[in-house]
Amino acid sequence: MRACPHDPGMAVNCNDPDVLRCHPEDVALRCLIVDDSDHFKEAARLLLEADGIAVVGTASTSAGALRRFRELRPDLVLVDIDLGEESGFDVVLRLCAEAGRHRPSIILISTYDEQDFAEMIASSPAVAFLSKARLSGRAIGEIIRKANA
Amino acid sequence: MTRPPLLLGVVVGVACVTVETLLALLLARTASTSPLGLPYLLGILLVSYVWGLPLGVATALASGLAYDLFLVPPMYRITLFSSWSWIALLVFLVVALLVSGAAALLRTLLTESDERRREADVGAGTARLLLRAEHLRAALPVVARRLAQDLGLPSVAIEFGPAGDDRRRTALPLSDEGARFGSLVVPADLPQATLCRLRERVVPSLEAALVAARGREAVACALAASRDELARVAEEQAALRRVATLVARAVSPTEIFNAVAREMGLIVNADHTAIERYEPDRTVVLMSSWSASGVGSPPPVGARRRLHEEGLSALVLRSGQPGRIMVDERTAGELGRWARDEENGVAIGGPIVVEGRLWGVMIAFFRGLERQPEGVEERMRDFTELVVTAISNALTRDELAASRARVVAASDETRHRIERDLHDGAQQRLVSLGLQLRMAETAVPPELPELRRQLSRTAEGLALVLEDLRELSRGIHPAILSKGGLGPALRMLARRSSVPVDLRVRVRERLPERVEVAVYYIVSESLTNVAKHAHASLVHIEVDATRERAKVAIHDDGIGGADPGRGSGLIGLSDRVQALDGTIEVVSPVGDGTTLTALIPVGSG
Repeated sequence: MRACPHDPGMAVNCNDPDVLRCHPEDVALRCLIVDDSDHFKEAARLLLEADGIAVVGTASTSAGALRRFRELRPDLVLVDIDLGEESGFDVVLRLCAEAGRHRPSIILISTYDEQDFAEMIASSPAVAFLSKARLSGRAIGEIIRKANA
Repeated sequence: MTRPPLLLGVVVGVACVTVETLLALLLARTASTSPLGLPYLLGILLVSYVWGLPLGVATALASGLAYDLFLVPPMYRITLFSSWSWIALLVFLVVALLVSGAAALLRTLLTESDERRREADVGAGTARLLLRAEHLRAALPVVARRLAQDLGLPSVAIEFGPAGDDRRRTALPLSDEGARFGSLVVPADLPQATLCRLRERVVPSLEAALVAARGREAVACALAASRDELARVAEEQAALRRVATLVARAVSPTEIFNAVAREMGLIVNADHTAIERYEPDRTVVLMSSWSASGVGSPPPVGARRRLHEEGLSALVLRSGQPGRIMVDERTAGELGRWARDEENGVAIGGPIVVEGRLWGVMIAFFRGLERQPEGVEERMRDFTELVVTAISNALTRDELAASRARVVAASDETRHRIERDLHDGAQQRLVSLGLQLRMAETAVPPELPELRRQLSRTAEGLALVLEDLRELSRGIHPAILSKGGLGPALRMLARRSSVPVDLRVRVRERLPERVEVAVYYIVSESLTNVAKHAHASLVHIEVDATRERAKVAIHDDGIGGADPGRGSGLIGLSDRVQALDGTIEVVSPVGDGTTLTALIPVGSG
């Protein structure tokens, strides 16, 4: 696995070691946002698109997330830890089960402090945790680069 | 004093006169001037004293005659009427008669005083016997025998109540202030003088002694009765006190029911006792039972039976009053059959009314139909009141505990909701706002650096607000607890603690939320206290939970000396734990760290 050296904040999908697409103009990262806050989804979509990440879909529930995932096969999924009655950790597990070998980059997001959920995050197959307040194309790019390093 | 026979008196008199005459003659030869009549006085004195006045007078006359014949000249002739010497003779006779009279009187007086003394002795002896007697009636024959012996009577009897004369016996009335209460019965053939003496001198002292003895016996009886009553009351009070102590110690109602069944059974002397609770569906549940003999097996506590319409429990339920029935084949329900032991008896029941509602019945069973125990209902009432208090207390306690638990649960729920609202509402909006600000920041043209800086500062300020809000939310309710359970939540606390924590959590599965929340707050509050006051370098925390209870043990190596009553945080914890029926204990010797131990029942749900 290799990180994209040119533009860390731009579209990279390094999950699949057989495919190397490091040209920014080539493709944008296709992102699915799973969150139950419409305000946030909207703000995040605008921000990420401005940062060059294509938000291809959003979902508010576990079932919706799975459905959209099957439809869209995104490269990147942002999953809110707190989905009302449902748990983001469960969604991550189900997405991984659904994805099989072609697992996308799954990043847990939350307004909670990372410390609060540290061990649950550690035991989750998600690649990382990203505080919602720090969300940006650049932050996501760094995470993915680290994950692939 | 009985007198010697009269004949002996005559012989002694004659002999005396003879001897005295000879003595006088002898004296006349030696000293002619001596009073020659003097020796006769001795004889007169003797005879008068021993045989009484008549023989004494006779002796005096005989002495006078002999004096005249042999000593007054002329000799051997009666000189009384023939010479002047009769004057001497007359003087002699008068002296002789006076001596005789005096001697007889002395004798009578002595006899009389002797009799009085004996009578007084008899009276004293009788009084002693009567007053010492444990039972007056049993002492009467003994006293009568003693009287007969002392008074020299063939037979004497003392009888209480009316007694009539008949041919063989005479009844002398014995009375107290004019009221006849008995008789002194003596043989009918006693001489009048004896009867008179008895009536005048024996009866009054006997009456006085008998009245005193009867009074004493009455007092003794009253004393014994009041002593018995006192002992009974004391015993009953002790039994009630024992039960009341249990009530005050707030032991379980079951324990109190058992104590009441037993103590009441002993106090009213019942063969069996039982306490039953009425159920709405016309059944009763046995709450406790007790048996004096311990034989036979009562139905188990908690056993439920239909109300037997002929039975005591149904009777008390109908009337709401204490009741008693004869227990036989027909009326014996299941309980009655156990109590009956193949023998009929009497069953007495008292209602147990709790807060205006007929709660149950207390039953005492007495074997044997001939017994009609008295005062059982009254004494039962005292015990019933204790049972009522115990039940009311238990109800109040349960209600209080339930309401405390409800208060804690409601407050937890509210905090949880506020945290959710903050998280889903304000926090999401602020985050979104932050993202928008940053977008705006990037969109600002490079030629407007001031605007860019302002936007950047605003975004930073917003991030700080968010951080504050997050801290606030965590304090209100730890989201990790509901999402991750106790283990992750406690590890989060440990990570955040400023004092290093050695944490061991042995909790296999999720516990009821109220227990998790309580354990979380115990650990959280303790860590806050340690950081603030303990000057500790390490905190050991051990949490382990079974299906029955969760145990939290927290120990720090700090300075100790914590006062559990001081920190409002600890008091709040204590309230919370007690609301869950748990216990919390803080030991904090100065210089030896602080140890907190809490036990919380897990219970169901």
